[in-house]
Amino acid sequence: MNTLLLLAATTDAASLPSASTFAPAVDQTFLLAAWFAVFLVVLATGAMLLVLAGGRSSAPAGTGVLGSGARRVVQSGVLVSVLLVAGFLVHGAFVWADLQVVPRGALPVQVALGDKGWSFTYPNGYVATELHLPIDRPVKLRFQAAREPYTFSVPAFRLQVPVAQGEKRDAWVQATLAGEYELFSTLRPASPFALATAQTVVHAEGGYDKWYQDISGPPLDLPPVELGQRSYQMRGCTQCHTVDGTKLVGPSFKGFLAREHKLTDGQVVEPNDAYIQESIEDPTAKVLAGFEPVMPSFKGRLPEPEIKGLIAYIKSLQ
Amino acid sequence: MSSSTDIGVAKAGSAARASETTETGLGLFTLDSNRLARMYALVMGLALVAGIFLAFGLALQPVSGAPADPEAYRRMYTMHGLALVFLVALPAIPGVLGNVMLPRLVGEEGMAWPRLNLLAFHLFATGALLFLVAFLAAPADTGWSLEVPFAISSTSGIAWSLAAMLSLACSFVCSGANVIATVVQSRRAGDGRAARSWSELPFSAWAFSAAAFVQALAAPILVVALVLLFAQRSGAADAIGASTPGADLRFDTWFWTWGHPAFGAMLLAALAVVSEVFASSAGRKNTATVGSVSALAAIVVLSFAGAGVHVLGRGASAGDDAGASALGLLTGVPFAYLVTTWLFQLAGGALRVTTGLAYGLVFLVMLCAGGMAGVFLVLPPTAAYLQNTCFATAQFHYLAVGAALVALLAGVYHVWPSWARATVREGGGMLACFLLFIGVHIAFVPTLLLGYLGQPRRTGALVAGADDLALWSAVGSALVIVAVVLAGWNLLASVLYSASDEAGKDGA
Repeated sequence: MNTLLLLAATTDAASLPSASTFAPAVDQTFLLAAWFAVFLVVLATGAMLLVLAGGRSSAPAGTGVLGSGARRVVQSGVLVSVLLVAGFLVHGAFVWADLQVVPRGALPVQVALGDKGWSFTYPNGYVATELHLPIDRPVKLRFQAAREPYTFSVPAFRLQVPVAQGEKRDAWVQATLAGEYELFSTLRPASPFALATAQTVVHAEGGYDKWYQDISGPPLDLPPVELGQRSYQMRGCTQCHTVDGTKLVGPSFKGFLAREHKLTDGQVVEPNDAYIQESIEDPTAKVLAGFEPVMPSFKGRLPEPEIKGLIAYIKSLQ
Repeated sequence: MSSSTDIGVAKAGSAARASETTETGLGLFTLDSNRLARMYALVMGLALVAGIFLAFGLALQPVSGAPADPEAYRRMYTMHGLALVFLVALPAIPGVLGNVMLPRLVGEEGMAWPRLNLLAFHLFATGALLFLVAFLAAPADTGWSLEVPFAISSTSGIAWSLAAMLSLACSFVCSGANVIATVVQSRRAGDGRAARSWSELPFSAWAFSAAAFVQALAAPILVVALVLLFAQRSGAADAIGASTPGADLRFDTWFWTWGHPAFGAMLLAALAVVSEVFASSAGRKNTATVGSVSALAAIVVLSFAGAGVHVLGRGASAGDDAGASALGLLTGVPFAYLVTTWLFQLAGGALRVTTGLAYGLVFLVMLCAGGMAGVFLVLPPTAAYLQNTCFATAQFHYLAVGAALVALLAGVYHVWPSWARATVREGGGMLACFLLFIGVHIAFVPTLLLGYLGQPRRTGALVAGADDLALWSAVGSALVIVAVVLAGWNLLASVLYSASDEAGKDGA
């Protein structure tokens, strides 16, 4: 009965993709232990049914002292179970060591979980809200300390990494199957991190490099105005700044340089190259009246030619 | 004198004594261990019913499609866990069956220290009342294992629940000390008998003592954890170091240093009961052998030493983790020894097949399933992947419901004729036992598989592909409720009907 149920259910569970180098190893251990468990439970159930069916027999009452045959079976059972424990441990140690030792040359990605959810920081400083991974290349995940403990769990990778409160740790993964997989924290459903979910995108061959090139920004050898325009589109500026004069979260770039602007503290600022550069690198230093100091700093995240390009692009919009 | 055939004689005597004092009032201040057992059973019965209905709600919510209220769900699973762990799983067998069986097993009229026994019950009842207040007025929402740092910042009024746990920890110390004293004292000469050696004690007395020893020794560790949390919450002291890294790990280490042995004690008490049921069914003495007592000793040691499995892969060194993993796996060996020995003993003789024996055999299957599921959780590659998932929930329930609750029922059916002075109605009892057997599997095999899908525990939100399994699990938990209610009714009916039979005879 329960075996049938188990088989029926595993077909359902088998829909879980096997998308990392760990998945086959963890599945192998899981299946090994599962079949052993099913074997023992079926054995125990069989013994139970035999005892129940064989009751009220006319055999003489037992003394409770095992015959030498039975005792030998029990003793060898104990020996076999100790050997099995040792076998399980040795097998487990190999898989575990593989999980722990980050291969050399793995691509480093910083992973953090905060009140706004997951963020993934790439070597070029780009911060993504989805985890993008290349296929068949090891990636080193550097987990950042957080106010709350969390786990990084991607069932498709059979990977779960617990990160203690306020502590950092490293792990690694090598994806083997392109696709999008669910990522979440299994811990502390009561906290703001409650089951924080994100997508994991494993790019097909070559896809990751193209994605990485895109997030790395426009080619720096473009003419300044065109470079600035591409940067404006790629760096997320469009979410808050328009180029047609419409006011969003931030001021529109159109006509921005045409007149002086009032700041929240009452001072007046002349919009020039220096002010634009300062507003990109330290946006809350001089906030225009009527706007909130909500822009993130891009200090260190944009190469110098790109900033120059943005300034040139804004100037071109007058 | 400890064989089950001798117990019959002792039963007659104690029944006669009990009848002099029984019929007045509930027995809130009774020093009679049989009546105290009845009080324990009353409180536990209520907690069990409340707890399993909460469980059904927990299983139903994810598949019902009803809009999830995370806070309500948290309160529900927390109170479910607190009530069933602290009022049923840990104290049920010592509280009910310990009081009924142990004095007879060692040839005593009652526990060694009746007043301490009463104090243990009063502390237990105080804990139950505090949980009731918490349930009605301020349900905790931190999970029964008090998830730090949320347990520090939670504003749900968990102080009531913490106070209840404190009261129950004190109760465990009192009742544990009493069991050990009773067993030790029973060896003295007197009442026209000679002093007895340790080897004359039945296996069940050893197992009850081992359970009591572990429970009483572990409980102060829980007190420490609770005091740390109280101090941290009140702001009196930075006791857990809430602002320094690893607070969750530090508190969990304290908590599970108590928790792991506490559930070891739960299983030791279950072994005591089931061994007695088996020996009685086979009509033989429940002899303690060097092998079986060594197995108990190994379980005692491993239940303390193996606590590290609860923090596997969370920052300890590789050596520590490997050690914890090895100790966790080795825990299976003494259990396997006892189970195989008993099966051979059962196969070797004529058996009286009773509902108690059926539950005892179901216990063996469940112990096997729960123990094997535990292997996944201590084996490094699968442990890392399955922690905090439903797999851990299901494994725990195989032991707490499948093993401990089933052993409780085995023991209750076993002592029912003498304790309740009623004849067990075997047909209904067997049916309930069968329903519980399949119900536990239908509820928890899918839950194990949900864990394999990565489904986090303690949430009503399901991961992809989890719906069918969650539905099976809800069906199973409904079956478990039906089985438990049926077993309870079956036992009560045997008393009610026999009473009305007697009344009918009197009328005629």
